[in-house]
Amino acid sequence: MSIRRRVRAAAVAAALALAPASARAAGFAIFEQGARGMGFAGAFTAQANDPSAIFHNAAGIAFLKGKQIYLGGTLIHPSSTFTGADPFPGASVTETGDVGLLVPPAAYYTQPFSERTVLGIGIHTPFGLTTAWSNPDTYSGRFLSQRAELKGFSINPTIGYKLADRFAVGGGLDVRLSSVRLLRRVPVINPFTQKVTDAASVDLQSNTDVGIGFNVGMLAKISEALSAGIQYRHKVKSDYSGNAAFTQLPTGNTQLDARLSALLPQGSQPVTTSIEFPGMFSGGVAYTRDEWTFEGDIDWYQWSTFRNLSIVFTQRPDLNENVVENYKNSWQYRLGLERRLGDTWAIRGGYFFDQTPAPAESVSPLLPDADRNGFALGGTWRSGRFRVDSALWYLLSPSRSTDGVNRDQYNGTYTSHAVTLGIFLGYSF
Amino acid sequence: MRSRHFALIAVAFLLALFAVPASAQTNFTTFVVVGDSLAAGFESGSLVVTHQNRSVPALIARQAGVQGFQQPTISEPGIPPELTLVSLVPTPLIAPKSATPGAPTNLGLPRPYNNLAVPGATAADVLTRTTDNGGLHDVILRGLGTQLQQAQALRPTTILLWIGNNDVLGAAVRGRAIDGVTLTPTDIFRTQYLQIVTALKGTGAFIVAANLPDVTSIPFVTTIKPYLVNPATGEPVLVGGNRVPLLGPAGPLPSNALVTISASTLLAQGIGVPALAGGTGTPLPDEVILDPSEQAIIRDHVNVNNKSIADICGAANIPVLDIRTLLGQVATTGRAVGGVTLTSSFLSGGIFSYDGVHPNDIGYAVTANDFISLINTSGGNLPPVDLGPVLGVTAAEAGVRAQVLRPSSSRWVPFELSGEAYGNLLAALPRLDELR
Repeated sequence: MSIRRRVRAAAVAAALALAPASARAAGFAIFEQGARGMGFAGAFTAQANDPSAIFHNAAGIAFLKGKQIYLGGTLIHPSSTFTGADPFPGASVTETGDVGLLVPPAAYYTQPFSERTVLGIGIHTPFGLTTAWSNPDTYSGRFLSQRAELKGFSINPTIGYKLADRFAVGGGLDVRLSSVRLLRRVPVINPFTQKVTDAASVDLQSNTDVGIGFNVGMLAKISEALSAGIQYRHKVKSDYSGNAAFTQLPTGNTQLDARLSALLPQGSQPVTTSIEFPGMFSGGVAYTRDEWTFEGDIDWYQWSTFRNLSIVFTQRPDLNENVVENYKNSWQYRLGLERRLGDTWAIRGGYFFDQTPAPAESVSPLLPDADRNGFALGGTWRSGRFRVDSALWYLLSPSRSTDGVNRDQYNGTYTSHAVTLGIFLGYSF
Repeated sequence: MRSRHFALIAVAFLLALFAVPASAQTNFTTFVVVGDSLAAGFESGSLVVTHQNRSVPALIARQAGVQGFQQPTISEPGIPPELTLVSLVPTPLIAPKSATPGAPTNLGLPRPYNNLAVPGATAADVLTRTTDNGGLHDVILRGLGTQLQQAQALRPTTILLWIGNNDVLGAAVRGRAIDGVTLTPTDIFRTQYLQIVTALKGTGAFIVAANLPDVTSIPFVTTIKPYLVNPATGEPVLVGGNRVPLLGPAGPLPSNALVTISASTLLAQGIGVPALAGGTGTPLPDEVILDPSEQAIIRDHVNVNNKSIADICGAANIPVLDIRTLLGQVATTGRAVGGVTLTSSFLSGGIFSYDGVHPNDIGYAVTANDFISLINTSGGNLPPVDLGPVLGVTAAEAGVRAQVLRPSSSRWVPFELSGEAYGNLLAALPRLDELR
């Protein structure tokens, strides 16, 4: 049996065991910003009829009545496994993701300002990521990444303006606060054994950077039944400064330890890095008939902005690293359907396909990206001024092989799935 | 009866024609190796079973599932005794594991070895040498004929041919580039290589070959800088803001001169170190220095010989592994494997062994995978060698031996070779008979 077939067989076995997955949409975009939109599998640009419009389509808030609060969170539970391929880390190697539970929160508030104008402010998490692996001190990818975190949120003050009764535009300022953390091991060749040994661990933690972007949208209620919306959210460049803390690890040989302590940077080293978050464009059409609403959206992410992750050690240029990513622009297709059951209940379901922006060369333990299929189920219960939305996503990625071309020669197949549960509360007054 | 025989023969012939499996081109049933120390699995100045079993041919044979791949195994600590790193501080000391060499353990094999590669062999040796008066040729060839004759006698189905390194290496390790003396003249090499290929091609075997590395990029000649270096930091010693050049026969060495590892013992005694820096002020001998013109002559021979290899193998439809480019990549950018960057650095680069010339187990495994890739593009279907355990990343690392036998305290060299190590090393490297 050829290696390739063996790898595939192992991957199939892993998939059957429903073992694993990853924490985010393809790339590191996050679309879980409101449980109503989630119930439509994220197809919400043409409806945008709750305060999460601040994320989905700023124009949507122009149609919101009264003061409205909408807040909640999404529990994301990803799991993933990696099956190695020869020559490295080897076909007998299996690694398991260990991200735990992520809870990106979101909160929105909208308030009419004039007859045609509605103001709003929202806090949401358009991008974020956690990648971590079990047994981080011994797993085979520890020299590439043990743990990677991209944390942050956007503060998104927004204005919606009705140009006509059924046509609105909107825009917002996207104030994005984010920070990066990267952990990995530093390898050396032990001159006595001529084998690789762990010389140090490095923990790179950036300060929080404030990046500025904007978003604009349009929403047209073409008829009672039909609406269409588009939104554009501009790319945001974040420049981080921070520190990389080196901790030397005992190799078991005192002579080597003495040599390494002279060679390795001691303590903290100042570092800088930057990430350009991609711009995104969404367009959708919603159709309502009787108690049914259908929406279909297409999203485009300008992932080509993510060319590399360059880590600059300002005092030790010899330690600089440049992780080439070369992401490609990518597309998402979303379909959602709602059925209202009287005034109190509504149920939803949907499907999306999320195309990976990562070329096979860049699929790594740091960013094990893959296409994703998302299956959505959701519902609403409302009573008076209150509303509770919830939605469940099951995200399934087809096995992603590095096809033997990973830039770091760390090859194999990643398999992942995730379950996310969003619960949001709405209140209008 | 006769016609029936004829029919049977005809049927058998037809069957043979059609029964040839798709991978017949890389049929490893009888896998034979012709070459020198690199194909023999020579490592750390020694031919020894531990590393012979991790030689490029042994790994390829294992991945191809070859049964009965026989090598001229030699017991620990090898012939000559294997070099080891004795201590790392204050300066690294390299010495033989033992004063007593190992012994051949497979002399009784009643047929030629599959791995016929003889450390030190030149292209001429492959064609004509049958004995070297008790040296490794005798251990490996055992009076059964030349490498070429024995390879033919085995009726090989696949041949790995990796010869020519010693036609250029002697000049680098002996610090003298003299055409016809330390370097085989390129036209003679071309003729000999053509003879070898023609003879091997006559066996009908699938052949895979490799070209020659740039022997001026190996740690043996790149480790010691032509100026004084502080062994503790690896940084140049500066006097008045300037580097302090070592002394050669023609005065201070230019910054692009290469100094061979053989100089380490001399430098340890202060030879080659200017008196103002505390040395003896006496020059290093020419044999441990490759000046820029010598480097150019050696590189030119490597390039011309590689052109010959490419031409001859190209005409014979033999795939050639471009060792020169691959090793050049290791020497310049390094080679990434899962977050580890392997380089040509001595002791810490992960590719070369303690002799500074030959690869270590990792270097041989990486090279074996390069051969396997090439074989697979020629119709083979061999899985690559799993590098995880070879690198020690995915398996428990063996206990570290760090017994300090004799601390070295040289002020001048990044490491020191013990007297025995030096003698063994020179004995194992290409000879320079003609020059003496």
